[in-house]
Order: sequence, then structure tokens, then C-alpha cells
Amino acid sequence: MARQLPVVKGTLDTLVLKALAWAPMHGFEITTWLEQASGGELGFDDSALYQALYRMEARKLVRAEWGVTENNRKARYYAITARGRAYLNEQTASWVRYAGLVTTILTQEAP
Amino acid sequence: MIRDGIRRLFRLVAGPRSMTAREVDEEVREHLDRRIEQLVTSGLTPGEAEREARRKFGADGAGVRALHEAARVRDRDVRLRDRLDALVLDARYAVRGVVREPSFSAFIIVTLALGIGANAAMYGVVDRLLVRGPEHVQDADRLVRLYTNAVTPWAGERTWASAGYVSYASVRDEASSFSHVGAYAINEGTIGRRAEARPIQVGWATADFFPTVGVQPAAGRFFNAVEDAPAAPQRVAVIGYAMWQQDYGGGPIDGRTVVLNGEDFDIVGVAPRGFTGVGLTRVDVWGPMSYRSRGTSRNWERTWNAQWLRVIGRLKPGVTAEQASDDATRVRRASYTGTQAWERDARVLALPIGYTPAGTEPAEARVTRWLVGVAVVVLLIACANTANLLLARAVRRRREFAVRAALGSGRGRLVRLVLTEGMVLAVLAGATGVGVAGMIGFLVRGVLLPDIEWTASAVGWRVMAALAAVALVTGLLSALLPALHASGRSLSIALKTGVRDGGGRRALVRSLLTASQAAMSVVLLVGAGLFVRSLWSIRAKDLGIEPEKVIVAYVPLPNDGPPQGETFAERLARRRAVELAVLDTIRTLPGVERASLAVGLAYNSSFSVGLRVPPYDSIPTLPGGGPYIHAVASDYFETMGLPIIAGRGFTTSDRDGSEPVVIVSDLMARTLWPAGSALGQCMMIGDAQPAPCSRVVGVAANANRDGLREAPAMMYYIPFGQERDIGGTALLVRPSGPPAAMFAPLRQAIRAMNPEANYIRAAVLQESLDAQISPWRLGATMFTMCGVLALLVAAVGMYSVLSYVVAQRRHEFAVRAALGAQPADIARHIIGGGVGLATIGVAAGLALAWLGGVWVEPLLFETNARDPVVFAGVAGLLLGVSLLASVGPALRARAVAPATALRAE
Repeated sequence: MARQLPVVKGTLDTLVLKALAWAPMHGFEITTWLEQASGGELGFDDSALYQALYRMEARKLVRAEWGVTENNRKARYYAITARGRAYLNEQTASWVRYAGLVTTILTQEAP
Repeated sequence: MIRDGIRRLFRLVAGPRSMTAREVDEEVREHLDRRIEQLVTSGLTPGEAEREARRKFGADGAGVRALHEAARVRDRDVRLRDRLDALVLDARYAVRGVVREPSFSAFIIVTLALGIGANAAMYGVVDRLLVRGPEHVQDADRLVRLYTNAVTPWAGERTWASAGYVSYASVRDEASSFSHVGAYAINEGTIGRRAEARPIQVGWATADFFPTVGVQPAAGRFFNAVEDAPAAPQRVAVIGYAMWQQDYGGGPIDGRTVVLNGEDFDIVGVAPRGFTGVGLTRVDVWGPMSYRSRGTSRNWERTWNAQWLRVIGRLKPGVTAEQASDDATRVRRASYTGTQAWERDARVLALPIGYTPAGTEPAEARVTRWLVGVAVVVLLIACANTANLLLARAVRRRREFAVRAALGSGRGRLVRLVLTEGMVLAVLAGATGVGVAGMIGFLVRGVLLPDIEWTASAVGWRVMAALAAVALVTGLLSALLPALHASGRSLSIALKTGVRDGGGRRALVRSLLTASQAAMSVVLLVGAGLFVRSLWSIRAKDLGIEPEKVIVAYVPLPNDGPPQGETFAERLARRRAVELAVLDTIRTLPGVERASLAVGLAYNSSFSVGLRVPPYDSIPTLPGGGPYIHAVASDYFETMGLPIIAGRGFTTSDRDGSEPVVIVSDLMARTLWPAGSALGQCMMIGDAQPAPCSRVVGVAANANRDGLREAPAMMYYIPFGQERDIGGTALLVRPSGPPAAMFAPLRQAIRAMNPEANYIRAAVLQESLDAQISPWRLGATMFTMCGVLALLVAAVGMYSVLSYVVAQRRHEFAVRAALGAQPADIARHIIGGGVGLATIGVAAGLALAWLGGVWVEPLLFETNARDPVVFAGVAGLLLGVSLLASVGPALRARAVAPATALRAE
């Protein structure tokens, strides 16, 4: 397996929110979604995901409730709140701008 | 690091793993299980899969612990939010409940508001009257007023506040118990000149009075010892804040003057807003005591025979009032230079500055203390009433609560709901109570205690704080019972029985609440009745004279300065001539029925001079002191409405130089000549040796000298002009119409004769009595208001209880009716229940009032605290009202139609 990219500090929250923007999911679903979306190239501990979820729950960016999966197992489902959606948009915009700037600077021809 | 320690500590205390931790573990377990399944599906062995899953999850153990911590923080925040949300929800629900039943809520809010407002207003009064003392007085409890206590030969043991300059100076210079000693006198005065002059209150104070009180000027300075020097006092003044604002626009005072009693005074400073010295009544201008003292007598700094000032002292730290009394007594005895044995043995008492001139706690303060009790009782009644009504509603909502409980509302949540409802009602009542407090405060201050200078507004922040506290306590008190009731339910029973069941313990609680409301109303109404009867006794009291029909005015005399070119007697004669001339003019005024002059006037001033009556070696003394002498012009008895019982009154031919004659009071005639007639007897009046013999020509009815309550004393009257050694003439006018209409023509006539005159003082004599009546008026008004309010609340309370009893027992009544009970029987049953409750309450209330009477008795005026008329009247009133309150519910019970009622369940 190729060496995975470590997640840039602070972006995991945004990535998780992006996942939840599609649909409410439980923790493992989010993990698999992120693995698929990144082609398995992002490296983070599963526990970090839960840290992020708990943190965002306290900040009212997501809300959680216990539910039952299609094959009748108990799971804690997370959903994005209106506040979370606003946060996601804001973070996305600033990330895109930031990444664009950094790219522009780093790819400039040396004089 | 301490935080970590605390956290650990809390976790230890928490004991078994918390809900949060269990949830996290479960979530992690589910995650790992799914990951293992995923890995096994992709071809790993279960063992490898589990190891890989754990690796992917993160640093073993540490990761999970961090998650626990994160979840704990999360849940703490979330729970707090939930709790707030629940509170908002409860409040919203409570507000909806309030709005849904507007008349129900309005009644609760209004009764609670009256209770809360009354308490807040009384707090404001008590704060000023009993707690904090006058404005700007530092540590009022360390400040004492010095009284003289002596066994007088004429009236036994007496305590009084008046003192001479010499007793002030000796304590100031020689007593060691005081850090400061000051003296003051509040006198009437005028400001401005001639027609523009207006009456004011002048505070004459020694220079050390201000540091003794601890007051700081608002501008400029207070006058100093040089300006107040007994040898050469200066005309300097400190004006009051209100006068500074009104007459000087609050501007600079340098070089400004004020015309005080017709003389120019330099203004050196401004007293702070609301400064009233150590009293509670308004003071407009402060001037040096020495300047005022010059007018009292020639040897004013040294004489023990004149008393015109009040002495206050600030106790040194650690010195008690008793020690200060002993110290000041020692100083007084050492410095006394007079010859009176009783005065040499007199004691000095250091008493609170709020006490009356007679060294007792003022009646207003005592009545106020009672009124606080009254206000608390009103609040308790309102609380009981609210609890009762909320209970009634709780009964009605049993099914709702049962459904809520069945749907998963915790018991705590239901209790909280009911408590929140109580609080919402109390908060609304508190808001309404602000207005009530303002109104009651206005009434008590402006109408009932008008002489007191109220500087703080009736609803200040202290009152508001008190109000908020009272409202919260009220809310809790009144919602507690209903809340307990809501929590203590058995669900299934409630769901099955609906509104009907309400019997047993809860009905008993509600009956007790109703009966105690009735009892408290009885207590208040009995109090009201006793005070009202006191007022009646005062009105009906025969004071001898008729103070409400007589105007007292003072004829202004020219400010001559020291006599020049005339003897003292010549000047006196000249002044008398002016006064008699004014009298003659006044008598010709339209609307004047009678007019006269008097030296020595009831409720104002009284004199006692040497008197010998043969064959007595000494005059017998009566408890009221005296005998008191009055010098009165012709028509005096007709003007005052005082009947002549025997002989004649005075005519215009009784005057200075005519035959010395005297009229004695009935009591004096009976005391001195018990066997025979007083007429024709001889009295030697005055200290002159030998005094001429004055012939008794008449006997007048007895009259009170000081006011309402006094011990009997002998009085006699001599013709105006024949008096010696006493002075201060009052012009007495008895108008044929209402006195108010007479003031303007009276002042005009006097001014016409003396254009230089400053403000001409004139008032109905009754006003001198009003201050004495005010405690009773205060008591009567407040007790009556509160009593009526309590009665109303109790009546509605009873009505609501009976209404709910009827609602609960509809089923039973229907069954009874179906079984053949007559409607009248059912109605009688309900009324009997209501009146029965009231009877219990009335009995309890009367018993309380009977016992409490011991304490009220001293506050009443010639009224028995167990007055049977009042007790019977209140009992009858309460029972009558309870009958009225029962009629409505009884009629409804009577009208229960068996078929409908039974089908409705």
C-alpha cells in the first residue's frame, strides 16, 4: 500500500461534515465514505474521527441519536445541523482559496 | 493541574461507569465489529482482522480514554443546553397556561401583586423609619440623643429632650464617652421679605453638629466654630439642596445671601440632597445655633433655666449607651450650678436619635412594625390563595399529567413544570407589584406620614430588590403544594378516574388553606376594626375646646432690637396695644364669628408660674403637672368653644390695670375648693412678693393641654394684659364658615396693618393635633385596606374551593339525585360545607386576635383590644361573605342533571 497522506490539522472536521452533507451516517459509514472518497490515500486513526464527531456535537455542528441499522444493529447516527452546513460552506470556500494560493505560489517559475 | 485533580476526584465520586462512557464503549465496540467484518470479507483471518482493526482505530487504550474525555465534555455542554431548552419550554408552556385562562391568571396575579407590592412598599417605609434612619447620617446606631430624666416635684418622673446651651457645652467639654457632641433646634422661620416671604423650617445647629452627624456638604462648607462663637455669632447660612436648586438654580453660592427671618445671611454652603439632620422632617436652611440662642435669654450660655435645643453625641468606639449615660450624668451633676434639688439629681440618658422628645419610641415606628406584619399576612393569604387555585387546576389537569407521565415525562419534569408555572405567575405579579408598591408607598408617605421628608423614591433599587426576592419566595411557596401534588400521583388511577376523584388528603389540604385564609382575614379585619374604633374614639373625644373650628394666627411684631428709650414694660404695653388693635380689626371682618388672643395655647405652649391660694401652704399637685396659666382676651371661651360653667367669662373691660380676676378650670375648682364655690375666692398669681389677690370670677370646663392623651391638670385663665413673665401671643379666630376660606382675608387684614410683616403664620388649631393622630390614621387605613383585600381574596378562595368540590362530585351528586335526593338538600350540603369552613377559620382567627390583643392594646386609643363589637362584627361579616361565596357553587350542584352527569364520565 502506498504511503498515506496525513490529514492536515483541522481539516478532518470539514471532511466529516462533507460526508454527512450527503446523508446521516454512523461512525463506521463515515470512515468508509472517507476511505472511498480519498481512494484510501488519507491516513487517520479511526478514533480521531470519533474525537472530531464528539467535538462537533458539542459545538452543535452535528447532532446524534441512537438508531438501528438495516441489519438491525444498534448504531449512533450523526446528522449535519444547519449550523454545521454553514460551517462546511465557509470552511470549503476558505480551503479552496487557501489551497489555490499555496499552489500558485509554489508552482511559480523561479525568475 | 488542579483541574485534573478535581476531574479525577469527580470521576471517583461518580462511582460506576457513567452513561457517557458506556455509550462510547458501545459505539467503539460496534465500529470495531464492523471493521473486523470488513477485513474478514477481504480475506484476513479473524485474529489478523481484529489486530488490524485495533491498529486502525488508533493507539490502543489511549485513544479510547481520550474519546471518553471528549464525550464527557460534549455531554456536559449538551446536557446544559438541554436543560436550558427544557426551561424555555417549561416557561413557554407556563405562559401558554397563563394566557389560556386569563381571568384565573389575572386573579392570581392581582392578589399576588397586591401582596408583593404591599410588602415592598412597607419595606421602603421600614427602611427609612426603623432601619437606616435619616439620610446622610453615618452609623446612625452609634449616634445618641441626650435626654434629661428627673423626678419633678410637679409631675413625678419625666424624660425630655430639651436642654440648655450649658448642658450641651458641659457634655461637649468634659464627657469622655463621645467622639463628637453637637446641638441643634428646628424652628419655624421665614425666608424673603414682606409679601414675598414664605414659611420655612430652619435648623439652628452648633458648628460641631455636622461632624457629629458625619455629613458632607453638597457645595461650599458648613459653618465653623468661629462663625458659631457664642460671643459674636455671624450671620452665615447653609441652604438646603432643594432651596439651592429652586432659588439659586444650583449655581455658585459665593457672595449670595438669603433673607432669613428678615435678616441677610451669607450663604457658605449647601447641605446634601435630603439632609434632614437627625430628624425625618424637612429642613430648608441651617444657621448657627449661637445666633438663634441670643434671643432666648440674657445669660443663655450659662443659664439652667431655659431649654431650647437638643443634644446629640457620637459614641466613641466600644462605649455603650449606658456608659455614655453614666458619664454624661456625672458631668451634668458636676457642672450644675442651679439651686433646684430635683434638677441637681437629674440623670442624662443616651437614647436612639429616632426617639420622641419624651424619650420613647415613636408611635409611627411601632405602628409601622405592625403594618409589616399586616403586609406579610396579606402576602401569606395571597400565597395560600394561589396555592389553592393552582391545586384546583392541578386536579382539573390530572388526566393531562397522567397522559404526560405515560408518554415519558419524568416526575421531576412535572414538578418543574408546576413550579415554573408558579414562578411565571409570581414574576408577572412582581412586575405588577412595582405599580402597587408605588401606589401604596405614595399613600403611606404622602397621605399618612406627610411630615417625613422622603428623599428616595417610593420604588428605589432597594425596594426593587426586596420586591424581586419576595416575588421569588412567593412563587416557590405557592407552587410547592401543587407541585408535590402533581408528582405524587398514581398514573393508572388518574387515567381512570379523570376529574372526579379529589377527595381525601388533598381536599383536606385545600380546606385547611381556605380556613386559614379566613382566619388571617379575621385577624386583619379585627385589627382594622380596632384601629377604626380608635379613630372614632379620638373624634368623639371631648377635648374641651374645638380645635377644628379655630384658626391660630400670629401677629408679626416689628423687629425692634434692644429697647431704646423705653422700659421693658413700656415696650410690652406697646406690643399688646398693637395686638389688641389687630384683634379689633379682625372682629369686624366678614365671616369672623368670634376672635380673641391668648398667651399659652393648647397643643402649642403652656406656662406655669408661682401661685399661692390661701389657705393652702402649697398647691396640691396633680399627675398632669401645672397648674397652667393662660392669659386670654375677651371672647376667648366663646372662640374656643369652651363652656363657662359658673360665673362669667372675660370682657373687654378685663385688661391690664383693671381689677385682677381669674377664671379656673372645673377640675381646679373641685380640687382647691371641694366643699364650697370657687367664685369669689382669692388666688395670688406670680412670683412677685406680695402678689396681688386675683378674684375668681368664673369656672370654665376642663380642656386638654397637650393633646389626646394626658394626665389631668389644673388650669386657670387671667385677662390678657394682666400676665407677667410669660409671652408669645396667638390670635384666635373662629370663622362662621369653613376655616380654609378665612386664611386669605385674615392674612390680608393683618398685612394691611403691618406692611413690613414677613410671612404671616396661620393654621387651623387642629393641625397641631394631627401629628398625634397620625399613628392611628396610619393603622386604621392600612389595616382596613389590607383587611378588605384579605376578605376579598378569602371569599374568592372559598368560592373556587367549593366550585371544584362541586365539579369533582358531580358524579356523586348525580347518583344522589338519581337515588331521590332533593336539590335543596344538595345545595344545603354545599353551603353547609362552605360556612363550616368559614366557621373554623373565623374561630381560629378570633382566637388569634384575642391572644394578639395584648400586644396591640398600647397602640389603640381608649379602645379595648378585645372589643366585643369589633369581634362580633368581623365574625358576622366573614360568615356572611362565606355564605355569599357558597351560593353560586351550591346552585350549580343543585342543577346537576343525573343523566348528563353520569353519561359525561
